[in-house]
Amino acid sequence: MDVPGPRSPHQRRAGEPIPLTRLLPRPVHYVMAGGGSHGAVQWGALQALEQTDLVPDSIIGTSAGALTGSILAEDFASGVHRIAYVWGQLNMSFLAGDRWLTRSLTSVRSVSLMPNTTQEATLRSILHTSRIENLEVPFAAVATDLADGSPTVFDEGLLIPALLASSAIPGVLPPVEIGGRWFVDGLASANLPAIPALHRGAGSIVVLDTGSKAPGEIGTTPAKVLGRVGAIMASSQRRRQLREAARNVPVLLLPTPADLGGTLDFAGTMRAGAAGYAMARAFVADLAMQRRRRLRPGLYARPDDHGLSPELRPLVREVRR
Amino acid sequence: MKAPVTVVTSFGLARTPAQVGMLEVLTERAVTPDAVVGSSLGAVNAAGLAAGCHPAQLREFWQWLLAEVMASPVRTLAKGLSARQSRKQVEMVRERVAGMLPERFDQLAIPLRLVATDLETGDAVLLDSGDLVQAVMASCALPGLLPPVDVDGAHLIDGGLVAGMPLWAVPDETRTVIVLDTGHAAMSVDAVAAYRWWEVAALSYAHQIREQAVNALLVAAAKTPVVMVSTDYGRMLDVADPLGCVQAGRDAAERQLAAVPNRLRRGVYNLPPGLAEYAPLAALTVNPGHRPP
Repeated sequence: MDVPGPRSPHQRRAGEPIPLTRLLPRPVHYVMAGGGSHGAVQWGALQALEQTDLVPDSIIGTSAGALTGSILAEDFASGVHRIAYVWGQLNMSFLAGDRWLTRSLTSVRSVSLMPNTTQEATLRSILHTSRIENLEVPFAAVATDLADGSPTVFDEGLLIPALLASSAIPGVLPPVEIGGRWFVDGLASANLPAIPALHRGAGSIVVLDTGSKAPGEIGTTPAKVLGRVGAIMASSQRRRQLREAARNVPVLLLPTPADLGGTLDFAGTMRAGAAGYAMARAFVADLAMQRRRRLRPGLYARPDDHGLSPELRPLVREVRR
Repeated sequence: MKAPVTVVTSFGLARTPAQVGMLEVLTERAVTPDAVVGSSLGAVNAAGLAAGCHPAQLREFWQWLLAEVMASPVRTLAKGLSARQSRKQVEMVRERVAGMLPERFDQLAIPLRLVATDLETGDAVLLDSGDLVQAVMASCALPGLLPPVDVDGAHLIDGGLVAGMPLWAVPDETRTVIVLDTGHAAMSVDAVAAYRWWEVAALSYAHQIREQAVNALLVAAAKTPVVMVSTDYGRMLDVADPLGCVQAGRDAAERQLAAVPNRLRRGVYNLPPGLAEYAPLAALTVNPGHRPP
């Protein structure tokens, strides 16, 4: 079974939290990336962060990260436990209803392959706060304005429509109208919204990424190439977000597993959560042991993080095992 | 405009022919580039400029490509997804490209840099030496339309995926950058309200490429004057009117280049409407963006 080990290296006494707060200039922002079913990795990462003394001053998320982030923002004390129950149950039937595949094939001319009514009902069953500004921890969801493509930050107004907009996968789920404009998934403009967090005044950023799909053989058939387009554009966008943020503030890049299934495949969520937990817990424990002073701007990451490209290397401050 | 001048051609799908009209105006105004940079379908125009092709040759190429290869989005995709059709298609395109251009980069009149994407790593790849036709084919290997091109063991595809506006590849010594921009992606709210699912998906991809351009401009304009020449004529998926695009490119270039002073400073000139909404970019704008008539 995939079960994380019993103790992090820093915990000398039972229940002692890992000291992170002293390292991070405030306000501390949690940045929650989108990634469909890979969002389960964040569930594990949040469990690891709960073993530290950190309390975020603000949470910003895109798509699946916005959903998980909003549950935490609604009630910080119970958030991680409630997130566990959500991710423990979440699968396609909660997003698309039953028989979604057969239904989607009949709607070639419509605005999306599936409606978002099931998704909306699921969100309403999870969240109890109607307006974003009434959440306990300041929160923002990122969506993309379909008309002009700009990343739009929803930090006030109705919560459910903002979450639906933030996770409206282009073509798959319908665009959402808010205030006379149409919005689709934040993945098209800021899937890992570190720059929006910077604009919201972050003093330091904790990045909860969502892990990646197992690389496998790179196919060169037209269909395989087309299938990689999304991943290539997402990684290019992610690099820019991380680079800009790490130039200005300390950015903790919590490590994530690299061998997950497809982003609409919910069979491996428990395993993804366990991997996310174990990797993030070891990371924050190592960081707390290796650093004594307040962190300076830079990208604090595992030296072998699979998401680090050559252009990010100069910004990396290594957190060794 | 201070030399060295670098001309950059952007992505633009069916709107790319507008760059030909823009190039004609640059020639008429005696603007001679010291280097040319191109990405995606813009690579064809960049290579044509560097090789000293006559604009009529490029016009003819685009009329042929849009009519024969990219005829309709659905048919194009269906053809591209069939391996046999795709091979036939790539041979036709390669033959046309080879007919216009010299074989190697070092035979060009002006130094040229093209950008492609490594299919495996997702990194941008700079192509500036060796086989020119192969480099052009790699830079404009639109996914689903043309197959990847193998260069030095790497599978290369469309540079537009990581650098639709390849300012990243502009030589360091450049003192003036001129961008021939056909990547306009912003639409009206009324238009998007009537979109179907595949149009929503396509526009979202275009926005992603556009968002990269915003960041590329922020970096470039902080150190060099960047003169934008852009048109929002037609739609990127509308292949019916290549010559209309060329004319729109001409009109845009005449109007927008006339608005640029002789002495330039760092920043963006003629920031197009779709990009003006980005506050950090608007702050780098020297003269107000052109407004379409």
